[in-house]
Amino acid sequence: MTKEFFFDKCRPLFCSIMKKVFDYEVEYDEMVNELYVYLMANDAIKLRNFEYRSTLCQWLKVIAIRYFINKRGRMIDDTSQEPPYDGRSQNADTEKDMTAEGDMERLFDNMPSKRYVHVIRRLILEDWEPEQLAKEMNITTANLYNIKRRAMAQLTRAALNDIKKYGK
Amino acid sequence: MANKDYISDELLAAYLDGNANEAETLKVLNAIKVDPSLKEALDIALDLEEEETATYNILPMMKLAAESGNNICSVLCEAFILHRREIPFEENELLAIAQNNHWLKPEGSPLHSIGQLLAHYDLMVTRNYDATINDIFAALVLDNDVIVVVDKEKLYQQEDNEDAPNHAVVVRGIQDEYVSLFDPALQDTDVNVSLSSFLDAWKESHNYMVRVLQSIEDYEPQPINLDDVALTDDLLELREAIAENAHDVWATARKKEGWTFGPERDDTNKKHPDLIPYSSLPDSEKEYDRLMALDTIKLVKKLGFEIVKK
Repeated sequence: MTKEFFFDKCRPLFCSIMKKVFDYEVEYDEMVNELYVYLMANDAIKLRNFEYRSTLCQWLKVIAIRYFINKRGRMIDDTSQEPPYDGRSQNADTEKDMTAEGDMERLFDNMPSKRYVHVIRRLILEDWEPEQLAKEMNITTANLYNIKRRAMAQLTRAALNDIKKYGK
Repeated sequence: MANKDYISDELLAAYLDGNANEAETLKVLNAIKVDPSLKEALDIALDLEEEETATYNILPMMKLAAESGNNICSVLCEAFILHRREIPFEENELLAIAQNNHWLKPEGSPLHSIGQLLAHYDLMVTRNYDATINDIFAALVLDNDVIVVVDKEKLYQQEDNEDAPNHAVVVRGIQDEYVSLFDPALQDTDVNVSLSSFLDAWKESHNYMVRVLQSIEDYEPQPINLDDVALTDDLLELREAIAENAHDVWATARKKEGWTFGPERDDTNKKHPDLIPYSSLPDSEKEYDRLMALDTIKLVKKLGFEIVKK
């Protein structure tokens, strides 16, 4: 990640995030410099922990959103408090899985696009390869990548609405 | 929240990109219920995603038509039209003009530069997005020439790795369910493709059409539709500043040309009633400047640029 990418190319992204996080004027350059220092601290450990499980832009977006939310609440955690990603530690226990699966079906029912539901079922629940699904859907894998992101956005929106509705 | 339930940045980004596995997806969905900060972060991420999705309506002005050897398909289309109009030219000279003016780049021709060569040879050229097949038909009836930009792979129903406008072709005719083209990649003046393939391929350029008129009577202005571009409050504030400055630029130019204030417009004696400060202009005149300013800001966004306050 070059400085040009971070400070120039990502400027519109950071501006949009700051507008959404803060309801008052903030010093843009100061904030972005702090974020940069945060990423580069401890020999850029945060950056080096990036494991290419998403696009760099998506990763940076998530980092920036959470950083600015924490910043707003003056509760910035030490980077060391976040455990490095470990796939083995991400397995939820069986009981939670079952409950959540029931919830997931309800979320699917609340998603307007059944095409998106199909994409999530195939890729996440049935673990299909993207190339295999792209072929089944008669689309390119590049198209599937965009559809997958939109599908996850719709699933998440359904989950957020579900919380509002059921107060969970 | 216990540390084991913490959703790492890595996992959250993978989840949003659809790359998390089933257990991870469930873990995120469960965590949203108990972690207000995560909920807010996802809310913001989704809002940004929706804003990005809206960019599907951005016009591909800077996309490159870049098929046929050396990425010169648009130059070859324009050469074809010059030839048809019996205007003498040298192909090498055309290429040099296009390169020198940056209408042709090593990677291809930006969509907004297609037709510049024809204008250079004094032909009347219009460009518009969101054209229809009927627009093409109407242009051909008037013996206008039409260049469109298409996704070449879609045009010929080939394997398509990327949905993108990447090829300029000249439309020669439309008959029933077929469209007849000059395709510079094939050097064929009469390629027939099905109407459905053509429409499928053409939509990738937002139905971009470059029209070469035969006479001034054929000119129908078609400004880009900007209805879907919403502006935030800070950009709306820009409107007034741009409107006032545009008026001052205009007034400066007029004064340099010797124009002065007069109660009525008088071209012979160079008098103009609007040679007064912007603040003193009647509302009707201010509204004209504001509309120009507003549409300019909207157009910048529609063409895919961001205006960022420093």
